[in-house]
Amino acid sequence: MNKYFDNASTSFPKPPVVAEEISNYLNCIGGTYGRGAYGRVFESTSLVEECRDLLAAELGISSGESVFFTKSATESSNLILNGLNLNGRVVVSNMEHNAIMRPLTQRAKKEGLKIEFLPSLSDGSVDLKALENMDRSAISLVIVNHQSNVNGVIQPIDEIADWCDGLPLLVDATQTAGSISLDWSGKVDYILFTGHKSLFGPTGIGGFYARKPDSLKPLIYGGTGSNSDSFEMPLVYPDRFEAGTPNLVGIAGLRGALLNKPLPLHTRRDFLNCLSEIASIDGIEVYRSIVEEQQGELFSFCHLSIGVSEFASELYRLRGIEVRSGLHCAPAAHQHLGSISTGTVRIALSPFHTTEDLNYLIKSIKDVIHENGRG
Amino acid sequence: MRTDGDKSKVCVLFKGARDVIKADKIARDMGLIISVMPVPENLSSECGMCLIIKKYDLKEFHNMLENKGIHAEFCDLPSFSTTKSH
Repeated sequence: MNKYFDNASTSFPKPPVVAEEISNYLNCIGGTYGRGAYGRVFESTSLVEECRDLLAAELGISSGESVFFTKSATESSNLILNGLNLNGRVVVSNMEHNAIMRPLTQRAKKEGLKIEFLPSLSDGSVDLKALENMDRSAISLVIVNHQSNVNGVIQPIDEIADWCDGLPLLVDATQTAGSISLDWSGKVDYILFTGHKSLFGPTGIGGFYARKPDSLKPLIYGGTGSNSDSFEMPLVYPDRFEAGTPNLVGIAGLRGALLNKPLPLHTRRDFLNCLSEIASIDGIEVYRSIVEEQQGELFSFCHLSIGVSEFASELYRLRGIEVRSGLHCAPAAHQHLGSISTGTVRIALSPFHTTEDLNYLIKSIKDVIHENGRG
Repeated sequence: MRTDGDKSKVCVLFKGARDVIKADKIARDMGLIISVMPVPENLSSECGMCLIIKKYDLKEFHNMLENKGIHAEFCDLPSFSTTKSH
């Protein structure tokens, strides 16, 4: 039985090959990236570049030339939001994570940027009709979280990109890279991703795509194995954004994951039935997408009389179900959804869940309510 | 393999490690005999890899790299006089 429903925090389990590839790197391959010219270096460097190309395919990018490794989507966000020339207005969706809101707020405070929200529907999905009437003047960046980590709403990126029509667009694909096709036909300027969620790699490895990398300044300065006679960062990519030895252990694991993507053990219909059934339980209020097609495989809920931390705690104590309660580092989303004062209990699936696991989850939620005398 | 002074071979330099890996695969797919060695210190301040190919294969490899959009410099090992690929 898979009782882990916190895959929006980090996915578990991983495909077994992830640990095998990490072990193989540590025990057999070794070697650094791009420094020196012996076999181990060549093999490690090949591994990194193959992983970069596999990521490009996941991100809907034609080549890995503009895909860069960092330690996390958060570091990627910091690199972009500190490395871009920003001024005037930055507009963001209502569903942004603090990985965006915190670095953006710091930059706004320093430089007097104005942060504004895109018009949204009640589930946080960008209101495309209202968007047509939005003032586009002085916007230097548009930021959209592809899939909310609170209610799972998936944003219509294609349509938003069409509206941007030249305004730089940053998409946070932290929750979707690997699980949803990201083929936006080159209309998106920056994409953030992390390796340890829906890409099923280990923690500590993430990255970003930049359509025009020369629009960015590096965040981290240091050795790259290139232009070693200079105190300046090289102009060539990926070196310009990858100072220091890369996380080869993480990249080895991530490459393994990308080559062995898990097939879902439940159907889309199973998930939607599970969501509907939980939504129909007395006293439960579910936070989800208005439109079924825009619903990713995560959602949140609150109970009328059992607090979210108590509910999460009881799910674990009574039935071993692992979930996360609270604000999920996304106060902007909770503010919009009206759950900022309480937070929510979040359910985030992975392909490893079976229909039986979903039925167990439904029963466990009912049991918690019953055992607490509130059913 | 000692390459110093070998007039039958050419050193191929790239702008970064990614291009070395890509060029190595291209060369192998072409069936060329190649080897990898540290970038000679009197050619570049890179501390990574370069490829060594037979001078006989230079033109064909050069053309293939150009077709793939990979920038490379070809250096005669004894004299290190350079010609750029594009």
